[in-house]
Amino acid sequence: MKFCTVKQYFDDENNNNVTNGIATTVIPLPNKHLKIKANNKEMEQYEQELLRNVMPQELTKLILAANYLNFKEALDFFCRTVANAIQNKSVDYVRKFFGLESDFEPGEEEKLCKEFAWSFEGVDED
Amino acid sequence: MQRMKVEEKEKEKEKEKEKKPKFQMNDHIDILIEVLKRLDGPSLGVAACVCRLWCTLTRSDSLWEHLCFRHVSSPPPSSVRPVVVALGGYKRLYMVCVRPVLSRLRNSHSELVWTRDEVQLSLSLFCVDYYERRLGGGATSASSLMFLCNPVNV
Repeated sequence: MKFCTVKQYFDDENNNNVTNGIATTVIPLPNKHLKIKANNKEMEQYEQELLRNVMPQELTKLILAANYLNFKEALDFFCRTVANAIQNKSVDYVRKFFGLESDFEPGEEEKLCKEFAWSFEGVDED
Repeated sequence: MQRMKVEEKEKEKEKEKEKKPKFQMNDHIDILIEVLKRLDGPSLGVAACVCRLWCTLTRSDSLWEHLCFRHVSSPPPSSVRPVVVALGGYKRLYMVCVRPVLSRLRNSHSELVWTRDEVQLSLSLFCVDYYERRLGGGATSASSLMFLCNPVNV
């Protein structure tokens, strides 16, 4: 059963992993998936909409919720969405997207950029 | 005046604390790995430069193994892994044999699927690369077979 974890979730009162708002987004997903499964273009449109309306932190929460609920298709979908969002982008864009800061020593980052110089060709402009 | 400035600063600090997201990607490494697995080669290189944690994660050869054979119709047998690791690892395999081919194929095919033959060719070229390095010379030498990785002007 796909939703044994969902039942557990409702039984478990002390639940920090999944806030109610997120649950309302993730749980209707299976129906949406079944409708969209046949049509790839609709999936892409849904993905674009998701990215526009949802902040990166929300996406992280969605992934965590899908992981906790053991909902593999949603987990795959959200991970793919995040990966597509940061694909071919610059280091600063990725940092901003996840709210991360560089914790490298001054020389370290330069070394890494040299080592991975080939990956910066053709990066999207921010 | 000074007291107001101090109070303002404290308020700003509190606001910043609130702004900091409660769910940080870096606190969930297994999820982060799932996202990194879905990136292409260049994006994985960019990810390595983001922060120390991401750099450590991208050093894991299993991510590059996943990248090398992601487009393969049937994945190679697990007996291949110790050989690839002995010859230099999956990251090197990707850099030397897989990336040059993928970047050329990308222009002609939208959906990329590798067959067993292409996988075997990449692995053979990888062996060639290893032995040429051991015997001295490498890809830059005139007699190197690694030209097979380069585009051909027909």
